[in-house]
Amino acid sequence: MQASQIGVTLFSLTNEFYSRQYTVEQLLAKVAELGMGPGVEVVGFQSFRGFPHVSAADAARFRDAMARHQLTPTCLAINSDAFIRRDRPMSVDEAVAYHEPQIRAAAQLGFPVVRTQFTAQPAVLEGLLPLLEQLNVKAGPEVHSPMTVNSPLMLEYLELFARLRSPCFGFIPDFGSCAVRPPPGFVDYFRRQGSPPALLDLLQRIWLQSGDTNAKREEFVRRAAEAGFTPPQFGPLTVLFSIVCPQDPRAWLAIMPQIIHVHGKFYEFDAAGNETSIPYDQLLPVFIEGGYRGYISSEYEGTMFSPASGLEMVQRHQALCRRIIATASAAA
Amino acid sequence: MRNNFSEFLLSPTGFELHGRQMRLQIRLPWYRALPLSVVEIGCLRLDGVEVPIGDIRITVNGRTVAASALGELTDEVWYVLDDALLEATLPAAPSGPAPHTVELTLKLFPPYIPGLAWVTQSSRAYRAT
Repeated sequence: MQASQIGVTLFSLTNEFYSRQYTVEQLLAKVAELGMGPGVEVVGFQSFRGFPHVSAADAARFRDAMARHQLTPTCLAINSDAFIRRDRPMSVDEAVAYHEPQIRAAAQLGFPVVRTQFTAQPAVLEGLLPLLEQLNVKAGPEVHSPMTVNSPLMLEYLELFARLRSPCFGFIPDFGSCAVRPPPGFVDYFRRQGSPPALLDLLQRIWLQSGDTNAKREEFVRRAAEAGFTPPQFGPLTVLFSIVCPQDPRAWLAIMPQIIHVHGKFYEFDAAGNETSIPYDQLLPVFIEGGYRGYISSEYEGTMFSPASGLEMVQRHQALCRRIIATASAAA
Repeated sequence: MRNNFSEFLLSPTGFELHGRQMRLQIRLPWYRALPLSVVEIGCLRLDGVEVPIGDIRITVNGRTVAASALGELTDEVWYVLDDALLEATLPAAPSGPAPHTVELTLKLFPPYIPGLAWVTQSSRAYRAT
């Protein structure tokens, strides 16, 4: 693996963008100036007003900025918004129609890969295949908490991919699904907000158990209620199960040839520069061993709970990844 | 529950109060655009007095709707950098002097994370009329 495979998603720079300090074009300039690329991923519904409809002028401006800064479009994170209606989920046909303009936008903006989400069932991906092949865009469901390589839904995707044998299908691991503990900053944040210590202890104890993550979320809600805590107290904490779950880093080897992009999720670092909940020293060697040749986006998600500078956090993340890659390469 | 978006939820500018009519600017407390169908106004208070949901209107993309009707608007998308205008008819004109304290709870149901209710609370004291 080369250090140049470590790129960035502009999602990491949400604090800079949301606060209106930087436009997308200014972020791209900063990414280039700080050497965070060349690989750049963006979230369509974040970076483009009116997405999935992107005007020809906006698309040209984005492509020009990418070219001017010698950046490479890696992945467009699109969204599988199955629950836009509050009364029922989208049908397969509705979901296909919802994804199609997003895939067209990816082609228009120059992205070779789109990230879908587990809310897009395998039948939705199957329905998208003609357009993917026509536009030469690859689509990959993100293997993101609460899903892991061994989840029942993964088996359904694998069956679909084996049946259709299209180079347009693959997977996008999110390293948050290989956490070894809840991010300490997450727990500290809720402690400062006044979450009862006993409730936070229960949350962490259940999170650390083995077993299905959705079942653990349900167990946490049930036991928190039984212990007398209220939904406003325990409801916000359940987001933990949506952002991180445990998994053996070596699980990725089973699908390594089908991995088309990676989200290098991270939250915070210890004094030695290591991620405090996600074992990069184990994860990156697995991808070196597996011969992974695609991009890994530095994906900072501390923005949910921290006003920290994404620019600074991505630099620390990429320094960590470069150090691990150099050490592993020297040992090989 | 405060989160990282709480400090942005209530814009520091654009607050107006005329008798029982209040106007303020708010931001979407999420990192990406969302359809209005997954946005809910949880609770709005001025100086501790709650405004009934039926007396709140919201304007996004130039379209004004009743806060109680947001759940049907699957096609109206609130972009992440845009302010929305919140207008409320108060139960009574506030009796005390400025500053006036606005408290807002806004709930989001991200349509790709089944079961998650993202609740953002914020409050701000406004001097302007």
